[in-house]
Amino acid sequence: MKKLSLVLVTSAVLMATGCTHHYVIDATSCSFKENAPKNNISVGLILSEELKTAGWQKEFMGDHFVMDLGDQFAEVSRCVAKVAFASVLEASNKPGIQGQVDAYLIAKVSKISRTMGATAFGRSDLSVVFEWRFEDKDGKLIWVDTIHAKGTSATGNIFSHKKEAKKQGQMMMEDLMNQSHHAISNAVEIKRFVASVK
Amino acid sequence: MKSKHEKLCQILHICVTVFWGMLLTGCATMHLPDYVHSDPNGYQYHAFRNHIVVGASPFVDKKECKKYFGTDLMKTSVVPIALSVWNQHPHNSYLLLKDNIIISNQRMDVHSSVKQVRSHQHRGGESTMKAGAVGLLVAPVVGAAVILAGGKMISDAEVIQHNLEVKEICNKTLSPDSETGGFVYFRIPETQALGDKLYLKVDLVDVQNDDTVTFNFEMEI
Repeated sequence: MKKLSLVLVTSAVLMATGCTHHYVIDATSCSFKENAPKNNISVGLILSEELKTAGWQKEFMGDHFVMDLGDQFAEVSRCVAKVAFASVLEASNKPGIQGQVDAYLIAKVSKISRTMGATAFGRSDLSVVFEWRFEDKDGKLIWVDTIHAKGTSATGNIFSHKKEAKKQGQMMMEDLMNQSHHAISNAVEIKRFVASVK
Repeated sequence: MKSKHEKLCQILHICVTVFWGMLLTGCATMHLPDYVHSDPNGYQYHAFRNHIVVGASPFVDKKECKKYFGTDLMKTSVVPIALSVWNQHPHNSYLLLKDNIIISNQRMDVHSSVKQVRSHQHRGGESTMKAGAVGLLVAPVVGAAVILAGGKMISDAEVIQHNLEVKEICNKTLSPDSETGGFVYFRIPETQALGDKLYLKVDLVDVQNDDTVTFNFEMEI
């Protein structure tokens, strides 16, 4: 009887307090699928605090699910900028590097969303709407593009949901990296600007 | 009297039947198809100016709406408008910014409206909003479903919300001979009826000289 009470009380406490599940995403293994020549100018890569702290979270049946993505977005942005431009100076805002660069490359997370399947086998999509802006040193907008990057996996059960989320996160980061690189290296407007700086 | 083996078989049989039943009766995760934006000349409303074609089609058909958005958005007074833009200029590039797309149920003053409009104004029977205010619209659309939720309903609500965001038009540079498309969403006031007019204004900015090319559409919903 005592044991049963203990089990019941413990279960009630656990149900009332809920758990926090952290999904850890690692974009360091991402790689570029295309090669493109670098643009021979120096850019200031602007990564705001908002971008660095971006993430996804959800409350569901008393549990708290958290996916911190900001550091990985920053890492992907650095990789893309370094592959696309000859010289990259990073800052959290434009005044910090004013006068030291030819142009600014601004990364912005517009929206992160994640769907959950109706069952553990159901499809789950993690997606980000990511905006890139390229401005000259006076702040005039030269080029803007929005990337929809996505990672898909099964929702996963109580034992596999973290593994599935990790897989999905990495897939999204790789997609973001490659789509961003493709967009920047094929932008006619950036090429024109680079030619005018030379 | 049934044997232990027979009982086990019966339970297994029930489990398999329930599993397939769930899958076949719609417990599978909702999937909504992509909308392929085509040549803007084929849209219900279209215009050509300065080598640019802009097409717009309000999505008021229930079947179409359910197919692409998973729900009848008109029930929640939201009108999705499919927008397609094609820059046919041989040299010039144009910026398409969400803030430069304005929808209203009142005729707009072409020259002065842009800077006066906040992201979402709603007074009495008048409503004017900038595209990109999808967050304002999505919550009422999916809110009811989430409140009443079971697992499947939550999943459906998430898919619907995600889909609205993914299909929304986004900021883009239109290089020479390139096109883009997406949806803008407009919340109509309660006083508005089917058959009333809706006004859409799209401004495209020339990258090199900052000139603005304006498109105005008077649409019937």
